[in-house]
Amino acid sequence: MRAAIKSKGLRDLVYNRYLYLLALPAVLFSIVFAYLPMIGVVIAFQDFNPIKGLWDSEWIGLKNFEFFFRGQDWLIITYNTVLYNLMFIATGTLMSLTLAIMLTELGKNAIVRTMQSIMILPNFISWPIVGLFSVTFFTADTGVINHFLSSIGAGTIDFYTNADVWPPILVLMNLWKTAGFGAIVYMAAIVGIDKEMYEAARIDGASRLQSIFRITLPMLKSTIVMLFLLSLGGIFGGNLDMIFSLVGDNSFLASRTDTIDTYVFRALRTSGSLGMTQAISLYQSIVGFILVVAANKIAGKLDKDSALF
Amino acid sequence: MRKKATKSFVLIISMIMLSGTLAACSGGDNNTTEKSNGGSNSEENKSSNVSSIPEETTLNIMLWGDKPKQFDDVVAEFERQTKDTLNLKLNFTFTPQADYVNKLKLKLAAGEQVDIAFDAPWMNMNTFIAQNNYTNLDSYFNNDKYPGLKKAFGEGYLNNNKFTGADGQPHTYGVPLGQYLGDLSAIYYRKDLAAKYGMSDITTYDQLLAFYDNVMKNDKNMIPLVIKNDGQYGTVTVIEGNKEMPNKSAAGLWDITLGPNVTATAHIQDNKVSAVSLTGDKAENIAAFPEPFNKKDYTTYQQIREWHDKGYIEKEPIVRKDAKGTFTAGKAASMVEGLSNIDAINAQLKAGVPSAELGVFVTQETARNKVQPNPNYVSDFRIWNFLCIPETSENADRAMAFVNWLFESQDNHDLFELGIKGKNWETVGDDKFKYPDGIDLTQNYSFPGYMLTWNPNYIRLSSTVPDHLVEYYRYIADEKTYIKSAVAGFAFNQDPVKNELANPDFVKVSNDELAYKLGMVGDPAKGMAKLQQKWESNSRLQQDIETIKAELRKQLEAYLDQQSAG
Repeated sequence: MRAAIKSKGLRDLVYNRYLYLLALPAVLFSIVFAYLPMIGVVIAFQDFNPIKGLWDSEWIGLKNFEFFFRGQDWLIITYNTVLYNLMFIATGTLMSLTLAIMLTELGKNAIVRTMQSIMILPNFISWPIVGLFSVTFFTADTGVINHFLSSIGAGTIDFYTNADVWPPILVLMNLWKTAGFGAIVYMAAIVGIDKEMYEAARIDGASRLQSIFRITLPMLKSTIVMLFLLSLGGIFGGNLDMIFSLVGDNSFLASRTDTIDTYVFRALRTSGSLGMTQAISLYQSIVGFILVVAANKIAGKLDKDSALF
Repeated sequence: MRKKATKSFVLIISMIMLSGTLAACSGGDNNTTEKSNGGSNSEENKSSNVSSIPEETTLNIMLWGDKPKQFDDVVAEFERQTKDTLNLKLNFTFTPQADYVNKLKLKLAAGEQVDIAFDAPWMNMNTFIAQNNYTNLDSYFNNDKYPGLKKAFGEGYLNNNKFTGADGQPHTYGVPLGQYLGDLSAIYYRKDLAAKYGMSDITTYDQLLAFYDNVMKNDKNMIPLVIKNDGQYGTVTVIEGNKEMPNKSAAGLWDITLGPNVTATAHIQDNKVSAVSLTGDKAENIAAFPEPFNKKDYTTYQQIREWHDKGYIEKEPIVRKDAKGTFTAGKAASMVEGLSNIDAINAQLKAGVPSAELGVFVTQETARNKVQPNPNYVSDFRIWNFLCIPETSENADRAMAFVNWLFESQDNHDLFELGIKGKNWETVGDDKFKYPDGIDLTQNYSFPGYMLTWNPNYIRLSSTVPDHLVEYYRYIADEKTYIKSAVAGFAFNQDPVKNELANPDFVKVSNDELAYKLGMVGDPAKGMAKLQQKWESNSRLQQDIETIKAELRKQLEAYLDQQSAG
């Protein structure tokens, strides 16, 4: 009987069937909540009519995709989106790593733990609330920053009419909000590094900095690459909640702050065509998917252990 | 032995996890069975005798915004009163405004029952009618089985509010909700501050400007006029309402809203369309319009900028998300809103600044002088908001029975508009009301009537409205105040140019212009000229504009021909 099953994978499946059973709920979960809903992708190609439903709505081919490219600014907007995400990924990784290493080097005491808690706190404040606070910092009339600048005699900055100041502001805001939380992942990875290596290094006379650069960072390499690959998938995502909360419909800032998400949201918020919205997010996902697969291939070529799959 | 134990352990664990995973789905299943029960109930109703008490049915009603305080009490009171007649349970869903249309679509797509939905031509209604998704309600009106509807909606009123259906004929697709054909824009100001500066009540535009100067002089931290970041109820209304404006309708120019961000202006002469211009259109395309409409006029934006320079408005109104809140918190000396909101604003201002006195100054000069007909009040005599019944509703008859009840008598109507009599409000005379003494207005029932109850026959004014303002209510209730648009009754079918209308640059055009409405650009005339150039060089946009204009011309001419023939 058993010899009949030729495939190695299938044989393994039958042999360890009870252990594989443990994976069943997770598999079902993905099918029900991640794969079945994908059927909805078809509305990207339809003139979707909610009452007719998924199957009876009229098929219109790629017309929904045209909408995005009809506008004049789609290139600038795509550029902004990718640029912001790359900046977020790069600065975020750097900052999280630095924080994680600094905190672990400090050892474990009450102060470090408090600092850790304070660091992750901003992650739990939602962007709309940050947006409301940011107004009190940035406005020309009553903003804290401009008050301070004029009190020391420096010129004021018109934050809400000057687009060029926003890329750094957005990067800083993103760091403030996400870096602390990201550090936790790296801290967990650092804890997993064999302590004996550090001891051996110290006996051999390695300094603290040398331990960091020769042991900690190389050991973290696969974690860094993995997190980078995962975040690449969202590189066409537009951080709608962040940018819309901070900037809103401000046309002065649009040239530097508009991303795919804010652009589409603004264009469709009143008409609300589900087909066009779906078309754009399909476009974003496909590009994200291709990037992840390609980057994974490259990572695998350079270093076998770093690839995700 | 050990292997067996592992086996059963594994089995149990996977069963537990599995049931957890599927719990969510089964929840959904329960829902649908309940719903289909409701459906079959109503089927039975239709066959059963009408005079007996109908089966209990739940109506699902979708409205937008936040659920009003004490709303459940009102619904319970309704269910108590009508247990033996309508026997309806009302399940209201309130959805935030930004998500409303999508939620409605998703609910319908998921096959959920929606029996009554709030919708409007400025929202989703035209699309849904074109797609045949809303029930044709013709048979319910002017029907003796529905006396409330017959009483509250006259023939002329209904005819003004018909929409062209998929069959090309006008039908009633929604219950029209409205009190007046226009909204009276009013400047709400701090009377107590005016008194402090030694001024009497503001009655002229010059006094208003003097008031702002006084605010600037005496209360440096106070914003003289707070405006909202979307430009609605802003400086444009105030400034244009108080200067000599050329009469658009007399020149034969009529505005038509084609989509959320696209407005057309058509020049109609002797029932013929002689020129059309669109949002973002080339300047040369208005050259054929009669003077002075043949040239772009940026003087209003220049005046707004002057107000900005003087400090009448904030430097960056683009960040002002809540103008009303700023005013009622005592941080601004005035704001602009519709006259109908006077009670809410008064209550909030008193709560925020107990010593404050609210003053009202009617914004537009023509309205202030009660000019009839008012050139600023061009109307297609169509109401703005509607209640619609989706095609999929199995309870259309019951839903209309509820709407019928709502408009059957003043008492029924008042229950939803004002709350429970004696508890939330008290009658004053026949057509006024007041809030009971000592009631906390911030916790009281307050329902935005435009979503469910507004009707010209059942208007009840607050007794706190001063007499000189009651006259203004009469003024806007009078049909003679309005100029009937030459394109009244014309409804643009967006379907043939849907993709062109979806060009994202239309939003950009209105968004670019917003900065000027808020007074945030240094040299408005120069800036707007530059913007105009930018729009004109956008060849894709111009191409779409031409396509839309051609379609509009075609539809409009067909309509005008039909009018003159009929």
